[in-house]
Amino acid sequence: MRHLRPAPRAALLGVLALVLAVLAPAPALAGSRDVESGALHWGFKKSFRSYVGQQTAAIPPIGPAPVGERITVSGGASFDPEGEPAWKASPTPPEALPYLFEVTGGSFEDEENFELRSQGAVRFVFPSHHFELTISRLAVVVEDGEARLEGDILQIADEDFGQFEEGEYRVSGGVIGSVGSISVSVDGDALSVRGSGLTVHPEGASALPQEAGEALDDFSLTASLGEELDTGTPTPTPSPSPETGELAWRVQGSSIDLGTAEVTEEGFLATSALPEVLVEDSRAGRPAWRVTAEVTDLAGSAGTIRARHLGWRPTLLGDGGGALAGEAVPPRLASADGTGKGLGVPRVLGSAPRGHAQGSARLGGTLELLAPPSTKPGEYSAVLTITVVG
Amino acid sequence: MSPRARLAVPLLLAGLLGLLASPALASEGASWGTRPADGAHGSARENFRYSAAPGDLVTDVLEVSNLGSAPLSLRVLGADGELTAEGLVELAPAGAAPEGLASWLALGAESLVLAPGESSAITFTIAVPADAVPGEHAGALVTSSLEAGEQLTVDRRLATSIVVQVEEPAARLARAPGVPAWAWAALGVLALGAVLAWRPVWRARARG
Repeated sequence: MRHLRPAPRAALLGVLALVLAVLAPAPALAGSRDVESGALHWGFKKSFRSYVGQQTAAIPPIGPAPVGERITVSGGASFDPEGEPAWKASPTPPEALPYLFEVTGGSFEDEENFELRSQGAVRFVFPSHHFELTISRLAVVVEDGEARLEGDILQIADEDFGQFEEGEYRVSGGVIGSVGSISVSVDGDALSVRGSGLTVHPEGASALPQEAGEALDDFSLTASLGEELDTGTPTPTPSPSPETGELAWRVQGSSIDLGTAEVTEEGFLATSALPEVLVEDSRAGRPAWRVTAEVTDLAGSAGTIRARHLGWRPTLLGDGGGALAGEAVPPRLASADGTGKGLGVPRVLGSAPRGHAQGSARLGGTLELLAPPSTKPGEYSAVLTITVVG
Repeated sequence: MSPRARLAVPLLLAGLLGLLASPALASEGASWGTRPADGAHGSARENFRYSAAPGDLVTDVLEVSNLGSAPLSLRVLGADGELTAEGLVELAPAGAAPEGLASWLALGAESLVLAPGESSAITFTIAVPADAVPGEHAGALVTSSLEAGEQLTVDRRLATSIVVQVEEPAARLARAPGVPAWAWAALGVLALGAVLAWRPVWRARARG
């Protein structure tokens, strides 16, 4: 099984949720628009959070798992500090809270047809009841006004317990819940969606401790939409023929707005979505290609923020073109060992090996700035160089 | 709640770092493609690969097409790099001064503007220095689109890799077109035989 790292800063991340200013005027709705960034608020099932988070029903001699290891979030998911806790306690333990999943992409046609993908995982561990359950990569899919919640589920039962026999139960990109009703509103570039009346779908029930039809928590999500895609725009996209023999690409956007950095106890923190990079390689022999990026120091009237304070988490926005996402690079506060260069040196956003699949590879991710607390407030600017080499 | 999380709340009120807010993603996506032009060096090539001797001049053409819906302004430049095990060229950091292969490049155009759907060809010449070290020299021909932004300007660069295999002068001789290596070897043996055969004659003449 994939090892999921606990996220000790998860509670913190919730507080730091950034408002990414999207000031572009709203184009009239007609074509499809890209979903650029956002957040999905969902608590899975409040009574289940209470059951795993408190473990009052833990059985000796194993007993309850230590606090902080019962419910963990990782990879773009965090506890939602504004959500309703599953049980009353003071102070509220993070394990009582629902979750925030980072929206990484999707497409929006109209209020009745859209899709949003998110990243991040939440893991429930109950050793004395012999299971651990991981729910990840959630997506909200709406077709003709019918909504469903999709995602990955992995349940590992290390012994027979209750209705579950020992074994691994897995759903990959399947339907977790059917959504009873949704309300959708679009205000310029801001999309907000609320879903209620969620019930466990039979597909999800095959790997969840819940039965099909059982109620799940409501969800809400907010996201910012990109400019309307002009249907007349020739993009280097899916045209298996004719073979042009070209290495072609598109970068959605010529600048990035990091918004306003928030103060945390570690320093100033800001995040922003990377522009989507689409690579279409139709060269004979499908040779390897690679996309790298690097950033200059951020220069401002009040001083300089070193490039090493910028990091990122690359993600794959689709599975076309046989591409692989690059490794996450954490932003570095100090560089005592001289190795923490962050994005100050070229880093791999994504790549495809020789003989890769045909089609368009879509790369994206999140850019993170963590500047030292001594940084002087002001306006800073830099150049991010994205290079595709083939 | 962990002590760290409690700490965050009062600090959040302490101040904000004002990074300039600009209209997000004001321009639509620039989109373009490149391919090595078909010609004397081959057709349907993946990228630029040559064998050359010190002192050689190699001339080739890169085709660039604007696949977007807006006019595209590109800068053309060379970049140094290193050949990796996977056969990819790892480029030197952006803005590095040309030292290796990039300093051998002469470009027919250093910028171009393409209308939507328009294609153009960039001719370039690689002048392999007479004292070039035999072996692989790598780099790339880069087309770059950069529109000054307010906060984080994105420089978009599409790089077509170039690898020049600089040969030993002797290896070059043996690969002269139409003359197999064994023929050169046979010629060498004949020449040596001729010299040895004539030696007594020369000596006799010298003694007079």
